[in-house]
Amino acid sequence: MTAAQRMAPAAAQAADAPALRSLLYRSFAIAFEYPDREALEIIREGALAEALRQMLGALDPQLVQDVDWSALRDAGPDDDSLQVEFTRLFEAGEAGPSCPLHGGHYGGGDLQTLEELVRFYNFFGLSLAAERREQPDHLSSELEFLHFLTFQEAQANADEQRLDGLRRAQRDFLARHPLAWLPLHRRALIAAQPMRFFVELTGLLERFLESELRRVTALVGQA
Amino acid sequence: MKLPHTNRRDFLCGAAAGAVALTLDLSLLRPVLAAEGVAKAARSYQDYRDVYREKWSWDEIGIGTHTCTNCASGGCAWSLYVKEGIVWREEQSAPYTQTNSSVPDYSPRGCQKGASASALYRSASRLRYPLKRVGARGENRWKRISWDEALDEIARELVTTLSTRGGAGAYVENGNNADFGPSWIAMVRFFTQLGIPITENFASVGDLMTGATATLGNPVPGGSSDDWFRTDYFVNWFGNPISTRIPDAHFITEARYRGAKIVSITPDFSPSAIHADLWISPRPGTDAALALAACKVIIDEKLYDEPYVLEQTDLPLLVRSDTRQFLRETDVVEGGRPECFAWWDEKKKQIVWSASSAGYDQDKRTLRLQPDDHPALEPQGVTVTLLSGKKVSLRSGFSILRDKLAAYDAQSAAKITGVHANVIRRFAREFAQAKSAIIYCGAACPKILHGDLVQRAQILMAALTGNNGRPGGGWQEMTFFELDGKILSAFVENVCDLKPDDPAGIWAALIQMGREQHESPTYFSGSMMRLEHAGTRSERLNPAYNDPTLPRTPEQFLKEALARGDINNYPGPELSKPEIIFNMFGNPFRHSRMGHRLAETRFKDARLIVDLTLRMDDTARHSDILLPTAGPYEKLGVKYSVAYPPYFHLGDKVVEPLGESKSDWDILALLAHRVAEEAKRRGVSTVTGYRGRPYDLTRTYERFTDKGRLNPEKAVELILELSPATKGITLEALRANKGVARYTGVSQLGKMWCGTTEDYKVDEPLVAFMDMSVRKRPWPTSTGRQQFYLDHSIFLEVGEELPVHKEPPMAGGHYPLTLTCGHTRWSIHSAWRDLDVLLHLQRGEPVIFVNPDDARTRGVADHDYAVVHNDLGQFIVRAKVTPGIRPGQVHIYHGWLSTQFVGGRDNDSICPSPIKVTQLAGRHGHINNDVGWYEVAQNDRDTKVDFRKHVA
Repeated sequence: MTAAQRMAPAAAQAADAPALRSLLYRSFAIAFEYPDREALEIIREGALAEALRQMLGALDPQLVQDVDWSALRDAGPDDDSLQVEFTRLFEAGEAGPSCPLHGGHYGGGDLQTLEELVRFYNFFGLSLAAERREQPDHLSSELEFLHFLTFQEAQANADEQRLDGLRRAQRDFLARHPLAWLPLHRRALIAAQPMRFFVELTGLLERFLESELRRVTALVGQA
Repeated sequence: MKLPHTNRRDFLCGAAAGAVALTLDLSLLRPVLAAEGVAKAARSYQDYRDVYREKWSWDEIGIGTHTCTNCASGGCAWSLYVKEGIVWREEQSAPYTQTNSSVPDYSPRGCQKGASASALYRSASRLRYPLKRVGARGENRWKRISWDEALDEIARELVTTLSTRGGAGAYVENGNNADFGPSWIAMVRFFTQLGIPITENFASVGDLMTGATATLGNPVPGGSSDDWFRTDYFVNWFGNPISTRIPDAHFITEARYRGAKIVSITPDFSPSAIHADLWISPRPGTDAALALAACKVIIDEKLYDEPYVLEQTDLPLLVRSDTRQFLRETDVVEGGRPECFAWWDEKKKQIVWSASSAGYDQDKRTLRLQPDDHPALEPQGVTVTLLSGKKVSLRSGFSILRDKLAAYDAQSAAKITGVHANVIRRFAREFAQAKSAIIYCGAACPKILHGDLVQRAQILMAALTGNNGRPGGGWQEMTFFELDGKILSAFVENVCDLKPDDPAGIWAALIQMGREQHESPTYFSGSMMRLEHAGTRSERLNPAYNDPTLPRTPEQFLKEALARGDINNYPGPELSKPEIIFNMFGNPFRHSRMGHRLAETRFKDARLIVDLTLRMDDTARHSDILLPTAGPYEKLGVKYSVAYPPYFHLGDKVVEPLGESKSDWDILALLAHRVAEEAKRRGVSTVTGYRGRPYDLTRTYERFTDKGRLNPEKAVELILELSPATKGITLEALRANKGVARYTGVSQLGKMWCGTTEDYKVDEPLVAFMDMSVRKRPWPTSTGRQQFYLDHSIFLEVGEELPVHKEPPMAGGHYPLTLTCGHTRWSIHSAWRDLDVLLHLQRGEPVIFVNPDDARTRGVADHDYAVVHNDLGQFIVRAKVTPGIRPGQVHIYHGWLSTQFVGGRDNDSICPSPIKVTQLAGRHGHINNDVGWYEVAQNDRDTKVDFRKHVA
């Protein structure tokens, strides 16, 4: 039995939406990290695709329409393919990476971007993890922060003032950071003719982030 | 994909099934605030402006400089602003003490590269993880591997190769982006102790001034840049200090305010020429004719300093008419002293053996003439009877020089150089009549085939006018404060046993080290390695690309020199098939002429290629395992000790290395440990190094760390403690003074490298050659004088016993234009060349500068793409059409990465770098063929090309 087959049927029945969002951010953060051997198995088994499909579908069925789920199970013909592709696209292309996963790369001023990210993290009581030594503008860092905010949202219960603050923070952060550069990144990604896994994954993430922006904006209004 | 707190499969499966309890799972971020604090922050958040309400503060303000960067400015002190383990920005600090009130001070120092270094070190192009090649070399297919996997594989391969072929089975490609501290020490220590040779790169990149070695006995003469302020006449020749000596150029401007005249001699109207009082634009490669014409004016108009010439130069020394060699005592005295030379005393009417001679009684050697000495500058009718009984006539070098200079009257020189005769005369007179005059010779000079002749002619100008060894005067390039402690830490196994208060022990260690290096040298010639083993032999030895007046082919000269054993450190057949190649501190595919050919030669045949690198570049792409190195702010380092600023610069470690990168020291220490363990596991102990020296492989780590006592911090302490140049300076004091301390002295070694001066005082500018001009200590040449006459057989054969002008070669074929090149303002060689913030301040892509007439006749408009081509191939770049470039000249600033060119070929790919045959000379007094001293260098700046419009 594959990992996907082992899963229980409907995520939505078992989890409430705020928690799902937080889990989704965490899942995407995992998905955008380097695909080591275990990750390749998870992809090939369909666990990643299924997790995303279940959770996104539970949040909003429209999010999972017209998605090529097979692409998210496609780690390439051998163990090296996806790893090589990840390195080429995001870390060490011929003239530097084709489309790095660092938001500061896509304009807006490297330092201003970094400063605002750190300010966001610090404001909400977070710091960069010393042991990972990664930049604050890495996509996974930004997704982890959204995982954190939605985690807080899920914990906030009926504390409306706290909920509003967390949602406003999501609204601002989504608009000013990942959604400010992810479309540019996706264009660069497509131009680099990548394996379909990354195109589909990035498209799905963008779709999720946009829906999240719509959601929080509807709840707390425009900035 | 790391999920530290939960199994990822379970997490994903559980999340999909709704079976995962929501937990906070962070790996890149960490909470530092309690839950209530977070809740409070959330409640207070209205919009993004709230995150800006807290005043920005820094966790730390560190000190640093750009240690592992080949920046010849010699160091700039920076304050590094750190938050969250990131250096966000740097700011020039101003810790430089005033030299004295008569010269401007050094504060602050820096340039736009230093100011954007933090952006470079955190840029997306930095490698963060060890990578292993998956596809073919150069195909650029990589995957991550762990440090354990990488080091284990390298250690296995090393032990295999060392136990079968010894050290000759591997070698190190070495670039110039090393520090003068732990990083360089780690490289030398690790590979020397494995008996693996390292390429020397000074000549390989074309920086070695062999004309200076031959004439002054010093390839890197110079002083501190505040001495420029004291000059009355500053001649920038081949250089572009406004662009490339940014922290020091203000001394030139300030000298001009003081009343000095600034002259710039470059074919193009360069950024430095713009700021000159007189711009002289010779046809590329004709500079020797210009200098010799100036010398002729100086001599003809008796503007030369005769007492100085008689005392300090070889021009009064006698030359035999039969052999055209100097008269030596061994010629006329049974059991005479070798290398003992003579002048003619016009009062005594007899030959006098010069007390300056290298072969003179050592305790009596001096330049000082005695009261009854009256050397003749141009003796007439002097003859001598040789031991054989043969009678030969003798002439002084000056007399021969006068004859040679007859070809360089101002009118003739004007025809050669394209410079008007009146300008030549004016230049010569102004130079000679200035109270002090500097010729600042840029590093472009040795990068033309006959650069040595230009240097010799320029130095002749400075010597005739008595400027060498005069404050505010002399022929200068750049010099170094030698750090004995650095050398000892690199080469001496038990360096931690040396005591600062035991100078005899330190000196003995240096002598022992020198002996070992003589027997079993660590370094070999990178330039000749390119020739022999990198697929460039046919171009470099092509007679058609070389001096057309040579009586024999370059290959015949080379074979003869090798047969005579004249060339030390030659990469012979034992190094023809390396199994393992390491690359450190450079990008040989880019810094070598025709470097791309490495892909089809050395790099094709090797079994394993390991690159310790900051980023992906041309060389990395053709390697097998990439080990990401820490940037300068992420490791302890020492900036190399170029003496423009006479200050020691420490680069402190202020943040942890990015990603999984490690310092060079840590990488090689880990590897040393693995090698020792692997050797023990396989029962391999004694193996032989390159040149056959035995060593115990199982002790690699023990030796590397000097029994666990040596680490980066200790290495810096040893440098400070064991170097006379840093006597009294401590690491603690350096850190307290923003990483900077004024050098306190010069070493015994420094007499050679530090402008040959003992006279350095901490409150005075450093002036080269004061030992000779004031103390009358002989020059480190065979004659003990500034030596313009070179009587090695090769020099005699090719007519270069005295400086002459030779036409630039047709290097690359018969094409009408000359490709010149210069160091760029916008990068330090290829580092920073692709950094966005700097690209935005310029054209942002490779560009040639061409004259409007040349562009028009070829149908090329400004910003068109042009194909620049010759026999060797072509490269494609944008063209900038500008009258600032001479007709017949195509100029490109260096350092562009091949990937930035359309088609992926760079300008160096079409430079054939013909060998200069006189650089094959050796075993002839101070003309000793050795790496970094006197050897065949690469060159590129008189390559012949044409260009046409590129049609995509």
